[in-house]
Amino acid sequence: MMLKIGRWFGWAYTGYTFLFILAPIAASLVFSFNADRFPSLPLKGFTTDWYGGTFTDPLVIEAFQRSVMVSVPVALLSTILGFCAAYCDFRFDFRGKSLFSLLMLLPPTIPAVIMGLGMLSYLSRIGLAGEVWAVLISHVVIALPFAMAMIRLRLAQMDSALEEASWNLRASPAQTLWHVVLPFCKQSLVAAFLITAAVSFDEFAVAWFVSGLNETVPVRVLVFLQGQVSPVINAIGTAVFTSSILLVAIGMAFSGMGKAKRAAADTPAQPVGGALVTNNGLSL
Amino acid sequence: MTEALVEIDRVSKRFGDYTAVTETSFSIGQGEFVAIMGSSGCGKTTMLRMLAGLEEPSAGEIRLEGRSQKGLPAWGRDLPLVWQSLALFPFLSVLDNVGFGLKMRGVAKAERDRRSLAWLHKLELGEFASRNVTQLSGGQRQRVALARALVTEPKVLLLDEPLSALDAHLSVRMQALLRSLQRELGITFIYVTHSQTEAFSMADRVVIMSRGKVEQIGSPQAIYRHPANRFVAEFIGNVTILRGTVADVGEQAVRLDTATGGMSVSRGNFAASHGAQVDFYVNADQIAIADEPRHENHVRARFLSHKFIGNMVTLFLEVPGIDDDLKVILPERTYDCLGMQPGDSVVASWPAAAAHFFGANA
Repeated sequence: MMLKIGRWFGWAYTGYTFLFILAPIAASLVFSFNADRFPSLPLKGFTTDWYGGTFTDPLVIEAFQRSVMVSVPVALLSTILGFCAAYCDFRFDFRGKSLFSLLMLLPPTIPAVIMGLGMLSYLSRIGLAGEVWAVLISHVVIALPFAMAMIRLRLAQMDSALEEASWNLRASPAQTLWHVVLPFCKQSLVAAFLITAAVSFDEFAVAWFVSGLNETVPVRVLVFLQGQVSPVINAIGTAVFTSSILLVAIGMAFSGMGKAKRAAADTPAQPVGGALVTNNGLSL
Repeated sequence: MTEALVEIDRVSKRFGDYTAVTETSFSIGQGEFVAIMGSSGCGKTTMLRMLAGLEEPSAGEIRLEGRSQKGLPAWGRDLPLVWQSLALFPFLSVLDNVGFGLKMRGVAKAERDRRSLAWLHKLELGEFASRNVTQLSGGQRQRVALARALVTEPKVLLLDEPLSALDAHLSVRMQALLRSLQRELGITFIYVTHSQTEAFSMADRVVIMSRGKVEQIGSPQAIYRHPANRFVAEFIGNVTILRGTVADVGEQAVRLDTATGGMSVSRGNFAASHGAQVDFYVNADQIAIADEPRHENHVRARFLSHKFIGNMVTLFLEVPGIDDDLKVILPERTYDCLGMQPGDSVVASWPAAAAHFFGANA
């Protein structure tokens, strides 16, 4: 009996948590198609005007373009650097290794405001504040740990004899990296790319500090909000949410694909990277 | 043995304070099947890794065809290894796994595929060439690993407990395959294992290691009949070790006084002196069990228990004055005819030729 109540309570609590997280997003989605200017019930009727209006606004288009222009290089750089860091941690033993790993994984734990302030003060000192570069650099710092965590998890599943077997078959360490380690990590590399792209695409706080006039989409949204309460916000929000969730979902599918295929042979895989991302990826 | 192909010359390996291999020397001939056997931590795997160039000896030298391998990295050697975990590349097809070594040697794709496929057919894997290795059974993966190592036609093949993951039935079949493959190719196999069955059934010579040192090197028969020391005797487990004082040294045999009376032991090249305390061993399969003595050495014993191994039975007998149980191995039919019950009193007897001193028959 007690057990039953406990379970019932557990379900209710979980349901409530999901409701709490998803209700605002759902509301935003519903009102983005509502004909009324003001987000109030009852709904007035279906319209796609807000989307049409939004995506013809040059400021919004520019922000979207900028977000894409930032998030793609960020994803590329984060994935490459993340792989290097993960492989260093996997392959080599060196003095201060635990400190290295700690520093690599630190950025997501730093409050965004502090991160943003720190980035702003540093980047303005070297004359980059307000440049697109500033957003790019900051986002690599934020996104890199996600890439590293995902790739490190994949490397942990690699039989340590695999590299040695490759050397044993006359492949040099460099050839082994190219012909064995990278192919082994392929899916996690794709996943890391997509998820770091999502992290960058909808990161707001730090971008707000360092972007200056080079607004990304989340920063543009805030500017809109400050001026007016417009259903346009709902349309943008829904579009950003959809694109981010798609990136994350495809990324997770890629990192999970290997798992399904090798179910028998391999160790169970990667909840950590995923958990990190859903925390932050939807933080708009 | 023909001329030495692999020479291990006073090789030691230390990991920090821990010494894995101590001043070990032995050589292996062209076309020999050598098994290095010992329990885990005895240094056998470290020895194999040093041969493959995955570890560098702390002291001493390994030579291949007379050439020192010192400082040569793993990727500069031609000593392919079959791994305990197989270490097949999960992202490559069966064919590309086998062809990997050829690819790294710069062999063109068409030639590579032709040679890989020939090996796959040889090991009855032709139909699986385009499959992913993860779709194969344990025995099939085993053969892919073998093909991958052999496709480059090495002079020496290293094998690290390759059969330990297979079930008994499959393991026996693979043993036969390995043995016939080795004969056919005429190349040297260096096979590391903890399994006496595997080592004794396949190898021409067995190297027994313990705590980083070689305890004995010899043919399976020689090791089985004449263990070099107490360690090997206990490791192989087919003899009983007894102790006595030398009373009389004859031409063929030595008379000893033991806790259970006088006994005769083959002399061999044993340099005995009167009054010395010595260990000797009795081969378990040369002891007769009856109601009365059949041979010159005999003890009265109490039958404790038995254990079947294939069609042979190992009996354990309690003898007054001896700490260890006396081990007797009989054919199962002979054991049946005796009709013994635990607790029965019997007479165990053996000729002087069944008892030996350690190291006296080398």
